[in-house]
Amino acid sequence: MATHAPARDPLAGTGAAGVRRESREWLWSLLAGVAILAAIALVPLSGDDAALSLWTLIVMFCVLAQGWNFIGGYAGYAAFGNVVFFGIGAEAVALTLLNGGPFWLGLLLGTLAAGLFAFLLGLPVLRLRGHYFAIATLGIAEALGELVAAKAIGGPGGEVSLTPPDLDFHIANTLFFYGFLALSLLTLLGTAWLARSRFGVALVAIRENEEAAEALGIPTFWYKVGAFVLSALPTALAGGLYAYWFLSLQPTGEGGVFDVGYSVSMVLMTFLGGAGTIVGPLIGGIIIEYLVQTTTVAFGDIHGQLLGALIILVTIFLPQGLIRLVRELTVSPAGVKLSYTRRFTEGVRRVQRFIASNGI
Amino acid sequence: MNPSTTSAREGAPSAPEQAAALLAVAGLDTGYGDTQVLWDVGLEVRRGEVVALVGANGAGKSTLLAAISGLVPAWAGAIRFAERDITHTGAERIVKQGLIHVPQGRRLFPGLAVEENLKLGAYTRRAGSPTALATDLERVYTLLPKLAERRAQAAGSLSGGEQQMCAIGRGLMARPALLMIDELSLGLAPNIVDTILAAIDEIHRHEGLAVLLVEQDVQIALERADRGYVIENGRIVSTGTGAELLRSTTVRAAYLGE
Repeated sequence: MATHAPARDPLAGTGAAGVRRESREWLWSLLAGVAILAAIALVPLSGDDAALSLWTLIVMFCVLAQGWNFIGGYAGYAAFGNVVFFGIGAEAVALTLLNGGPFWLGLLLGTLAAGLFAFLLGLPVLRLRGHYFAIATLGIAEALGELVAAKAIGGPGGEVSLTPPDLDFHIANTLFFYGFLALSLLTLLGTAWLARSRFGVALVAIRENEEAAEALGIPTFWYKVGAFVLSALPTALAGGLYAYWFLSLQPTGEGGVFDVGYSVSMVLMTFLGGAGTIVGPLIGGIIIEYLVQTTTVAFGDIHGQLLGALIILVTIFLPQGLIRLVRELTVSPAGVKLSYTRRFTEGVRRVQRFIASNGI
Repeated sequence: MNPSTTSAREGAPSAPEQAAALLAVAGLDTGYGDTQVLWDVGLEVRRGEVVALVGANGAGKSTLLAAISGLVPAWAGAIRFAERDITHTGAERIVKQGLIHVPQGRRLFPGLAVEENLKLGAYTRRAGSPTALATDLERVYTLLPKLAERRAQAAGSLSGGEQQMCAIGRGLMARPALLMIDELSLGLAPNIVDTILAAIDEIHRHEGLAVLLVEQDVQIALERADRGYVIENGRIVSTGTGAELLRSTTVRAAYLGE
């Protein structure tokens, strides 16, 4: 009974294959992400300033979505106030520069402050679940924005104008572009590490069933706090870069560094691409921010309505994101060898079934 | 077979392993918020023993399990496990000591595959060696072959019986010394209950696993238990061997409709 019976169980082999397939998926995701970022890295070669600033903005939003993915995608906590970390990062850089400090110090201080704020904020709000957590984080972000506006660190209402870096305009913009790109790459690597770590597995368990995770001995509360802090770090760095790139800041109102619109974008982008996946937020960020920017140019005021329609379509047909579609398309049944064409047609059929089963 | 835990502990080296209480709950009070649910609860599970805790819906069975596994804080009383006081120990450390709780309603990770659910059961065993994990997985698959068939399937898509198997298999992955199963039979067909109980019995007999079986189905639980406790309105009202309780007229009247 206790002795080993090797290869007697016909399923033992497929189990191992399953494990290997799983580990290949993270690698493929990571490679896809790196390839996407490498392609974007070619944008400055075009010498087109408009394209450069468009893609700087797109990559910045990718970073925000990637950061949100830690708490919202992996841990499954619908944080609606992550813009607060962006605002803290931006205001820290602004304050440091206004006081004659170096840019890197502002970035560092902003990141530390945002991480600490996420920790302290997490202690009370991560005891809340579902809607209560979403509302609490939303409220905190709004409140901090108003507070910064009231304390008015720059001009009236907290408006700040910064002196541009002592560099050629084009060179400076290229550097900021690569700064955001490096940040996105770093966050991508961080996500790939997380997805494979015990910490990441525990976060997924929390998302899937928090009570069960607790009963299995996962220290759920501290892991959630960890995910919240982790999501604050890239977000604050993006805020800091944004401040010195954009040069003029306001805390509240549309486009303000505490504007809830950023939080909504992070959520939407992550869900379109695939929440809790390695490369999903990157893909979602690129698609949505590209559409936002181009539809604003092409359609002016109605771009909001077009985006609204997109949100509705995504929630109805792709509640699990684009990555899930790719997964349905590429996965082959365990242990069965199929030709590539057969696998493709099978995949397309699975995708049709998947969309139909999620449809109205 | 000395029923007194104190004397068993004093004579520790010579006391037979069987007699030592693996789990000892004494004078336990607890509840939620202002509402007290348990009053002065005492209960014991010895090494290698199957103990049943039976009682009606709302009697406090699940609360007692939650208190033992550290998910609900104790207001008064003491809980000892494997000679250690765990009254105020966190759930994580309790799991590490080998006291595993299979919660009511199975509580699986619905979006994860069966195999991923099982692996998460071994979470507190600090990664360890992948071979040990693979061996334990194979052991669970041998005991519950249905899980092997379903290993790549999302746990949320399993039938009720398969979900219960998955929950218990996940509990076994932690290499428990004591497995506490809340409402094993709830909503399951009798033949599935038999399959699961046979698997548990296998580990109980071969590896000396102690089991605390919490059941609304008094017959199922007491038939298999060495000893049993009856809980009513948050208090233990009677105790005895499984057979004694099954014969008892009060138990038959209250729970078996006689």
